[in-house]
Amino acid sequence: MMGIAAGCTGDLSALEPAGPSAASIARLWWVMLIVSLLIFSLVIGLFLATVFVPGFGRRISAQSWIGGGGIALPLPILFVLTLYAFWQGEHLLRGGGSLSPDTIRIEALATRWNWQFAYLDLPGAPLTHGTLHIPAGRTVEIAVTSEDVIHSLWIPRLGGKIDAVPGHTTFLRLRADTPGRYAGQCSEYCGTGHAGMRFEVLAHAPEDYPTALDYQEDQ
Amino acid sequence: MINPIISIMAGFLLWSVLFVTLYGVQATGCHLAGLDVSTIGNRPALRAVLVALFLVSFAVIILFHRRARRRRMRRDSGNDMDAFSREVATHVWLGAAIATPLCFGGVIWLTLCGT
Amino acid sequence: MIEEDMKNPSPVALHKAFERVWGTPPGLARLAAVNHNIIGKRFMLTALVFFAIGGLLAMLIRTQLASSESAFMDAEQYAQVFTMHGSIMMFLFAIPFFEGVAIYLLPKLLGTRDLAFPRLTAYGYWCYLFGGSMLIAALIGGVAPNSGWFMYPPLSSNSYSPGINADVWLLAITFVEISALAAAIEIMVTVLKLRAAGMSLDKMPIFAWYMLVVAAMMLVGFPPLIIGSVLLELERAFDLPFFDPGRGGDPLLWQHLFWLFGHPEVYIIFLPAAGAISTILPVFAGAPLAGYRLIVAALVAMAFLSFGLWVHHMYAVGIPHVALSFFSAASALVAVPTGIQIFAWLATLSQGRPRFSVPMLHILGFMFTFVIGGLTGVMLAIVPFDWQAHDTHFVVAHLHYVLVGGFVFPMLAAAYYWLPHLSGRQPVQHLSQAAFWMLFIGFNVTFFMMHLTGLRGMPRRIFEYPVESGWETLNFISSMGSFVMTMGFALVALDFILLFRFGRRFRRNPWRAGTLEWAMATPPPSYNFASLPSIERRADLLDPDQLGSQLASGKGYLGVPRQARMELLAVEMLSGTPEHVVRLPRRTFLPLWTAAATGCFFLSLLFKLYWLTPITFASIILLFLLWSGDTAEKTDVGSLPVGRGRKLPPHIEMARPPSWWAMIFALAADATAYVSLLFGCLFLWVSAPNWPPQQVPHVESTGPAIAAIALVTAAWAGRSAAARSPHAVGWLALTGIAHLVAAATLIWLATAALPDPRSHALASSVFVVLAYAALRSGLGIIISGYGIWRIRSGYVSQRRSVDLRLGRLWHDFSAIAGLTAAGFPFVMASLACELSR
Repeated sequence: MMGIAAGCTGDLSALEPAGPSAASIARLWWVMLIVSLLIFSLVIGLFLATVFVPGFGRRISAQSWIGGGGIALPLPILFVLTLYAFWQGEHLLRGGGSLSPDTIRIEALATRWNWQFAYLDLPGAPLTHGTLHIPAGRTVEIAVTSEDVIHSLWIPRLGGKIDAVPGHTTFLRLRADTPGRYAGQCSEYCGTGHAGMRFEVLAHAPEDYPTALDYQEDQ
Repeated sequence: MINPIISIMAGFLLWSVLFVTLYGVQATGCHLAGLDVSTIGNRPALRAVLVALFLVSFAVIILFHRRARRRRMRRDSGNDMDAFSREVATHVWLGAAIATPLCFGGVIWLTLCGT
Repeated sequence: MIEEDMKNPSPVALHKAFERVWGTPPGLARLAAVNHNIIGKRFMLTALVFFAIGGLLAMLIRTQLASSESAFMDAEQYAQVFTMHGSIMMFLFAIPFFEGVAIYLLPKLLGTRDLAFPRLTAYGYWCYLFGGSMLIAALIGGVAPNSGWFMYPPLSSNSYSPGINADVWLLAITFVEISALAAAIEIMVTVLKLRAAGMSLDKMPIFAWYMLVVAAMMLVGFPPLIIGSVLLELERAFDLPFFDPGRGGDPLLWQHLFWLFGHPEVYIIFLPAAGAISTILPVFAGAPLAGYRLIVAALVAMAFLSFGLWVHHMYAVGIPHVALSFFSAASALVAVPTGIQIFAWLATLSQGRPRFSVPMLHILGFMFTFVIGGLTGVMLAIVPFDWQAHDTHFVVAHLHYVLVGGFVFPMLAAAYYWLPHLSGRQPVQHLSQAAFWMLFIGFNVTFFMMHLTGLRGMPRRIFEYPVESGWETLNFISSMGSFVMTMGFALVALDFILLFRFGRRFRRNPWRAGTLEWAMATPPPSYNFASLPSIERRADLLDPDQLGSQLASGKGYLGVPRQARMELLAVEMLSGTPEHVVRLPRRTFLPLWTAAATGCFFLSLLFKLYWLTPITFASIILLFLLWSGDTAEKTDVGSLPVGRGRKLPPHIEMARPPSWWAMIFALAADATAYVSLLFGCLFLWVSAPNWPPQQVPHVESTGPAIAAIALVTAAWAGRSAAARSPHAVGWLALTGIAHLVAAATLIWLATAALPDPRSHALASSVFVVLAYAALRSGLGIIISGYGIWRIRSGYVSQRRSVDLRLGRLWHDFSAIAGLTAAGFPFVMASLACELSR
């Protein structure tokens, strides 16, 4: 992808998306990168030209320089970018799709320094520690909180992160397109165990999901 | 004659007041509406209040910008300091007029409460 | 000693006379120095020492991260290292360094001899030195703060950070922030009142506009952090649950207060650097700065916008999307005023004939680096992208690009540009280009990789990472780059040392600039100008060489030292018309003692020696009161001749001297702190869990009514006192008694009429608001008493009424604060009961 394929992969890479949320964000990233390269080249090019090319731009008035470069150039780009981003944000809040009643509900509890998951839609399922079981191809809504300090739940290949704040419950909606194993980690400094506070996400084929937890042990 | 320093700041001062008001009303409104678990549903009453605040303030800022621009065009004699403050104030009002719809237009369509 | 009626003294004789009055002798007397040249240099040098320490910590970080699962440091050591790296760079290097530049340069650029309150400058320096030393001492002692430079609770609360590490941060940073607020007040008053005659606001050097805006931002931006730190320290020391969700507190309150400071902070760091570029670039372009008015408008826009960005550090905490959109749009929009400045610089270059110089090389470095940082900043302003990039090394890359690009490179340009002024010597230049390129290349190799590392999932603040993560190569490259960057900095330091040792001396104005700081000998004399200039053109289009010789022979204002006093010309704020003469106080050890007392106050809190706290607090008040003796006069002086046939009154006989404005700005900062506190309490009602509490305060109206009446009486009596100066002893006594009643009532309300503040955040919030107001009334008693003392000592007359006018401002403010506080229990109680969830 984009020629730097080997450098962008990785279990925790946001640039190797495995779900619609992450894919949408990755696409946005590449567009922003290209536009940034263009703007950077333009500004630095102009700077070098004004310094090294005698008389470059002298006939353009100061008002035009400033109005053109400082206002007319960035404003439309920023306008379009933010509007798109707002639309995309609404889309991502619903897990990259529209909210439907068959969203799988999971509760995540962050502790020092592990993750505990409860499965509201699998009655009788045990709590799991350090492993999150989800069905592939369906939107999952994770209600996140913490029992001690602020942590953050992040599964880069599936989507953005959400903080786990004690006293609050926050929500993250994600979907994994295909079955597989995806890595996750805490992304808010929570003490000396922060670096090791990882977890993994097992996305099961939808038909295997209801019985998945019968056989899994805690990590 | 308003102190020129105040008139230079006035545009964004008003923008700041609008910012605090909208954010405060949004947060208080969501709180008063009751926090159901995981709701990103519609809240028409709150949205109406926010949109009204936004539109009224936007109109006021535009009016002030035009007023500033008229004053600047009209009196092009007068001392340097006055001309300076009128020009800068006009620019600042324009900046506020551009910033307002960009920053607050979201009240028309974005999720008001919940995550 | 020159007699005032001596005609045509020679420049040499004038110089000697002025140095006698303005100079600081060597030896122990240097500790009593109040001259801005000395203190500005101290700030800069001390900031560079802290920079070196912070840089050393950065090298430790890079060494640790160069390999996966490195055994170099453990998690706890690493936590102290990264926390201190950030804290030192942000609080002990960046802001103090540009404060030093401003302290040194502003009076010269403005055409005056010193800042408005030289002793306050000295006090600010000592507070900075002592506060910074507290932090370094903690680092050496292994008890440095370790919860990250933004210290989020509950991690930084008592339960998860027992020990004094977090307390060191909270108290030492607050100590240093006092220094910054003092500098901010002083810069605002100096820029507004102490300019050259004829320098109206539209003729000011652009750097003065930048500093004026920055100082205003500091006044509004720092108080929220101070309030947050006070609340967290109160929670840690006395268990008042502001951030404890179990008892109605909210960890998010800290984040809002911190970032409300934290975001403007980075613009406070960037703007002075941009101001330096706006000053330096036109000189090497050979054309005047284009778009002066547009730049001023952009600065105003940027200042306000920067206060509307803070939640972009909090996109992941669960705030509703519409609210996030306010901050996202504003964060993106701030690129426009930034772009206006950049294109103004390009326009300036296009109109002139640019020439090469080492400062221009660093401006190239700035342009390249800062534009990259700005572009990644716009990316991070976008909420969905930030949901991936937040708290990863992508942010680390971004922040270093904007801070190193937007601050370090411009400051190096400024250093190369103004070191000749400071030292009187020109750069040796052999090393300068090599140093720049090492720095530039090293920096980019270190931090460019981090964009990719972050997007590949590497979070911030991890001390090790598994081999399988695939981040090792990138991190190793970053670490190699950091060693090159360090060598670059070492070469820069060597370059400066060589300048001081071997640089050629030069005649004036090596850069052929048009600003006032070059209209004097270099290195500059203590007094800057032997006589003060009058200007009619914009202050970057002047002829310093011609002006310099004119002023040195005494042809400007105040061209003769009078009665061995240091005198400055104060002007009307807008037009620059000469208005009065400021007679500065003399060199004294008082700032040093007062800072030492302040340090003892903070140490007593740190080591929980609470019996010592009121004693040190009282000594601080007493020492500050002693400051007032030096400028006092027992008789009206009347108008003084200032040269060029004019006579102006002295500042103590003015209705609004500089100290009056200082009080206004100090009260603005105080009001910001108070409003942050009140909004913080309301925030808890809206956002915190476990509301309402079991015990809602039920406050009868008698207490608040008494307080209200007393406060209104105090304000009214204070006004009457000021109006009837000097026959005001009775009124002042009434003011003092009214304040006493108010303070006592507020304290009684806080302690006896409320439930235990430790039980719930509602109770602790109301408690702190009442205590805040009580403190202000308490100080009101002291201020009334001070007024009486001054009248009795003969220092007050109808014209010399400043003491009473300052008092009036205080009494008005404390009345408003107190009335709000008196009503606050009712507000919170009704919100909690009737409108709760």
